[in-house]
Amino acid sequence: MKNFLTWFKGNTIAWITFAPQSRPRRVAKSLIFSLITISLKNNSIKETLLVVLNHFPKIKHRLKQMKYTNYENIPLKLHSISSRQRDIFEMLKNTNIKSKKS
Amino acid sequence: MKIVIDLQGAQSLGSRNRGIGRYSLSLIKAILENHSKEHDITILLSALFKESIEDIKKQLQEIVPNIDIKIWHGLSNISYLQNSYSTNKKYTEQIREDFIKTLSPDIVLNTSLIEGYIDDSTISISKNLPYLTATILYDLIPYIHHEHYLADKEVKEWYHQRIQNLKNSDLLLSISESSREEAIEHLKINPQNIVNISSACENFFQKVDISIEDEANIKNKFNIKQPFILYTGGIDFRKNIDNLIIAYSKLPQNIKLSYQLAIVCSIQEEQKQSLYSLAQKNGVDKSQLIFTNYVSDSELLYFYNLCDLFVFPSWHEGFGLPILEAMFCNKAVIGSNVTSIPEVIGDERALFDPFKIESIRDKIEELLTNKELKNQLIQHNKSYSKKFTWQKSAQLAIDAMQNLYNKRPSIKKDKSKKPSLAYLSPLPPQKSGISDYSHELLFELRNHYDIDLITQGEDIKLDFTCSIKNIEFFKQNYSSYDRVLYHIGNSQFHKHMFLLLKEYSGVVVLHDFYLSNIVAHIELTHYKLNFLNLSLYNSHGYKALAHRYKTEDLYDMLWDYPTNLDIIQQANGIIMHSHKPKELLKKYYNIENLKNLKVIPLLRKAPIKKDKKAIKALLNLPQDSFLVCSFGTLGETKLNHQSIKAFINSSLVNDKNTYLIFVGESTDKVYKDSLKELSAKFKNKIIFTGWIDYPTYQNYLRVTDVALQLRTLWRGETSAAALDCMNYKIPTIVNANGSMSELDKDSVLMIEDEFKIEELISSLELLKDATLRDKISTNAQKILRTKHNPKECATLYHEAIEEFYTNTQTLQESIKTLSKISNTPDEDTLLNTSVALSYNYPLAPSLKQIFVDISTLVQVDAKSGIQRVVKNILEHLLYNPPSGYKVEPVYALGGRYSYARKFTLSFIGADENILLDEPIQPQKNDIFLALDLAPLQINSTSDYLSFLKMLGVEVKFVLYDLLPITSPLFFNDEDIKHFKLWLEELLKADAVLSISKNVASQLEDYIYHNKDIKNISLKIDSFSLGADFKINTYLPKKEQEEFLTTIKNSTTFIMVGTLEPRKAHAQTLEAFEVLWSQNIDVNLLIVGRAGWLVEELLQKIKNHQQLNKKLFFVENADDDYLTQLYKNSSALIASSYAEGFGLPLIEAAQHSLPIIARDIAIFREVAASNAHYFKDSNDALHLAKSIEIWLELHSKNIHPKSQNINYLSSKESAKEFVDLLIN
Repeated sequence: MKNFLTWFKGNTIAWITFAPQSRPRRVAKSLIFSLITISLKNNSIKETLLVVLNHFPKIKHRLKQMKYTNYENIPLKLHSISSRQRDIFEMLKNTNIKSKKS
Repeated sequence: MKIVIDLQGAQSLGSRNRGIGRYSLSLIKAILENHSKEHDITILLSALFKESIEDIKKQLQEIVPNIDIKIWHGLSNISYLQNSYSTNKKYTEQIREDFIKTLSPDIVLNTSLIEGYIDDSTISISKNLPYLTATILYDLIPYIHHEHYLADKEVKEWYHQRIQNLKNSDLLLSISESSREEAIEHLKINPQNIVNISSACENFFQKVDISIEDEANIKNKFNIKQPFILYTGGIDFRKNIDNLIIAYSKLPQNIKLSYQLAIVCSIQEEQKQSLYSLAQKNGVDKSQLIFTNYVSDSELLYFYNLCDLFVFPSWHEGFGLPILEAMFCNKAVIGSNVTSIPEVIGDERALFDPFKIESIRDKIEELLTNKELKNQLIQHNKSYSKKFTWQKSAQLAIDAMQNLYNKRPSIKKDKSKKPSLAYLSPLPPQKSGISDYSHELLFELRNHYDIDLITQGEDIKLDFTCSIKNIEFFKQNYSSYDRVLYHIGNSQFHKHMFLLLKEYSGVVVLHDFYLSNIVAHIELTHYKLNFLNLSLYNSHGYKALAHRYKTEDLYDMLWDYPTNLDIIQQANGIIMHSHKPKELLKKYYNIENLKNLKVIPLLRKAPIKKDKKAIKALLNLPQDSFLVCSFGTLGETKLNHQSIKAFINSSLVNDKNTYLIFVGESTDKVYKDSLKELSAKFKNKIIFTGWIDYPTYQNYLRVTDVALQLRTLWRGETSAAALDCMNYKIPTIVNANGSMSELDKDSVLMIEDEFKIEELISSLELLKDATLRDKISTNAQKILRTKHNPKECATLYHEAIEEFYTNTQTLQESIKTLSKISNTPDEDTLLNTSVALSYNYPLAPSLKQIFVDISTLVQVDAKSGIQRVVKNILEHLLYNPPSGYKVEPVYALGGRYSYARKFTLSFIGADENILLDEPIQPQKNDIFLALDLAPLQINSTSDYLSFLKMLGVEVKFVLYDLLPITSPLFFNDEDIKHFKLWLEELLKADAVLSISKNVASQLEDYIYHNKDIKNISLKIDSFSLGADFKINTYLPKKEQEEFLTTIKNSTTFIMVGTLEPRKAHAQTLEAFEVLWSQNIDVNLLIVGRAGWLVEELLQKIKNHQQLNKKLFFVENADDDYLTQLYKNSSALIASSYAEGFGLPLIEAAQHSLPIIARDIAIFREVAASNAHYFKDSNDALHLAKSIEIWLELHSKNIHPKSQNINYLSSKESAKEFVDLLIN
């Protein structure tokens, strides 16, 4: 009973606070990820945000840690990749098509 | 044993700064320290955590400097939290597994599997992997206490998915016996498949002497006023802090008041308040309870050393590292009697029941009052803790993996079914030497494969049945073939294969090393436009393209270029018929030890014996004839003319029965006519058969007595004709050219490659001896029957093809597997996958690229000193690429770099439309050279340069000067700011090449005096700039002529360079004003464009009363006119306050122009004692005086002579630079 109460108390607190593993924390993280994604795809939003964040270096650093780990952070287009990458893209596409057909 | 260690445990956002990350790194370092020599160890890092790579590399390289580190690329944004188990995640899992397959490991050690909820960690263990897997198991706390940790549905799903992967692991390495038992109990892991490797602690944690001052500092900082009981290890419900506080509160008052309780770890405010409330509720004053929040490792060390007792009340641990740390600090430690804690503490007397507050309280009280027990426990800890070492854990891990490896089941190949093989080759009756060869090979290869012959629809005539399919069928069914084999040679029979191979990869039999003729044919017949240009570029770079566009004879030019690198790269494996072509691989591409290359002897089927007399009758040859024959197409490279000369100068020509016969056609009419002319007097003795069919060819072989197979200018081919002769038991004379030099010396009569005619004659004479002929020919036939027999060769083909396909994971296979992953991936997924795969499967072998950043030059040629240097070096690099390198000028665009092809093609005089600019494709071991000074662009590409370094590209900068730093007064703030940012980037590079020793030394000084600079591994070198003496045939315009005469006829001092404050034009002009005021008849000629911060000076010059009388200003002199100005001047004045080099000094020396220079270090470096120096000051009078002194010296001809200055030509300077660059 005591253990149950301890668990219940802990989880209740966790549920309504931002304790590790708590739902609000996870939801907040997910939202932040989405915001980061959107802002990285839009230069003007990104620049505005950076102007604000430069006043809060710790927050900026933390967000930086959370951002994409893909080095480019820019959505790819066919014309923005190398010819080797384009060749591979075509092979992937064609193989996918053949695979679906069969 | 080949071990690949996945170190994502030390990279992931979730684990890298926690116990798992530290454990992973410490264990792996111990494995490397103790086992890197016995086992082949590769470290696998994920590019998805690129920021972690540099630090990990450095740490590991301290232990094994040349450690093998491989970085794999995947798709990002794949955390479970963001997207659950998305297609991108599945793709990345497969990509990772396929990448691991390319490393051919025996076993893969995963350092942490329970990752990927909040970040891009990707570790999967599928079933039926071709390698063994071992995984470190830390604990199953969430699994066992799922009601608390896995209450959230998503988290639960993710966790169970991880556990499923864990169960797929062949071996688990647990960090404690407790964790091991939990895995056996809860996951039903076979006890034989899980080994306890325990854990250890960093050496950092030990007993230390703390000074009174340090002790006071730390106590003050954290408000410690009394002896204290210490807890560290995080705040979580299982850590049982509540019970600890309550137990503390129930201690006897005297103890409670004498000892504080310190909780040393990160804690959230609400947790702290909650615990304070609990403490207060239980009668504990706030002052007795210390919450430190996060402390550094050194502070933690002090806490361990200063505490009176360490308490660890957790009721579930995987190991319990803080306990061990406290033990290493020689402290008394008490802890819970559950899970792993007892095995770490190792003494029952130190244990309590964590669920009973009284038990905790009693044990604390006991240790604080019973000194004897306390001391005993401390003594116990000192010796017991030594059991836990990283070396021991590493040994246990290796032993466990070794046992697993030793017990692995052998892979049984299913031999019941032959693999399917698509076979592409010319075949009879096509008139290619390869046709007949293929025919003979196929006959035996059918025993190993189910073969489909892929044809273009032509008629095929075989002596046996074989399935025949067309190209379209091949393309449609490519993925259903187990193997593909191409026979590629330098003739039009193979042209379709060049285009097929790119998309439909397979093993290539390379019959000819030089493929330039067929490649040219493909382009010139419009089979594929621009094909030759692309192939030349890919194989040989811009030098070859420049050659093409400047040559008058294309086929003569192509002789120098094999143009085959694309084929070698696209092939799964290469088969050649001799070892000699490896020298060509080295020569053209600097490739040695190509992994996927096999040498298989050229097969030769044993001939059917026929009656020699009947054949001679058939060929209209006298029965008693003695035949000396040379087989193969006639040509200069076959040295047929030498054969004729030797024959007619030997005694054989006098023998009426002896004939010299050339069996084969000639496509070179001119050469053929010359042979006929040479042999005109012996028309009856020297016969040319012309083209003959294969049976007739064989008949000639049957009746030949001596064969002459000579060759020069070997182009990588294997002499099939020489082997034919040996096969037909003909004693054969060969010269040691190319692959013929590999023939067994007892089986042929071998003469020197570049033989003298007498040597050939003498060989012919020798072979009049029948015994010798028999000996040689018998040996020859023996070798052909063994090494070259078709059955044996077909077996070797089979072994080679199987090896190529089995041991190598290819890009095509990876694409095939990815296509089977469910759902239709969107374009974004495919694009990102393409990028990832391009890095995971770099083209190999390949020329290393030198990316030459010419961002500024591409936009504008400002004709500045720097750009003159850039162009000189660029030109040298393009026309003299270092062996094994391809020079690629690039420019910054959109945060990355693009190949500057259009610019470069124009630069070398080629058609600028034949290649397009596109993003670069970098690989490990490439070099990035920031040649141009481009401060604005380089800052936008900072991230990309970090990415290049992560890939293994060496980043090198050219440093022209540090003037904005050393002489900031001469620059505006904006320029200084940009330069500093550029310099920051330079300081992160691998190497800097300075244009003088002086600048190199300034950089070293700058680094030394800036403690913030962290890159202590930066290499700094210097090279010397050069200049060329041009023979000037420039014809000046009329007004220029007059001007040149004017300055020549008087004493004219020339200044060359952009007008800017640094160049001290103002001071110099003032000095000359002093001289003019003294009526000294001298001229000042200023040559250069107006720069910055010189508006006042310009006004002064333009309004000067001496302008065009004694003062001259030439703003836009091109190089030719500048040369004339130098020639007609009397001396150079180099009065710059600061310079990176001072190219005008060299230019003056080329014209033997005396130099008057400011006494600064760089001018001394360039001119040494061969210039007249004036003191480095602002005083114009001093300069005027110095000029007067020089005039005096000059009048007596005892002034310093600049022609004694040692300098390099542009070419020498560029060569010196390139040597530094690649070495």
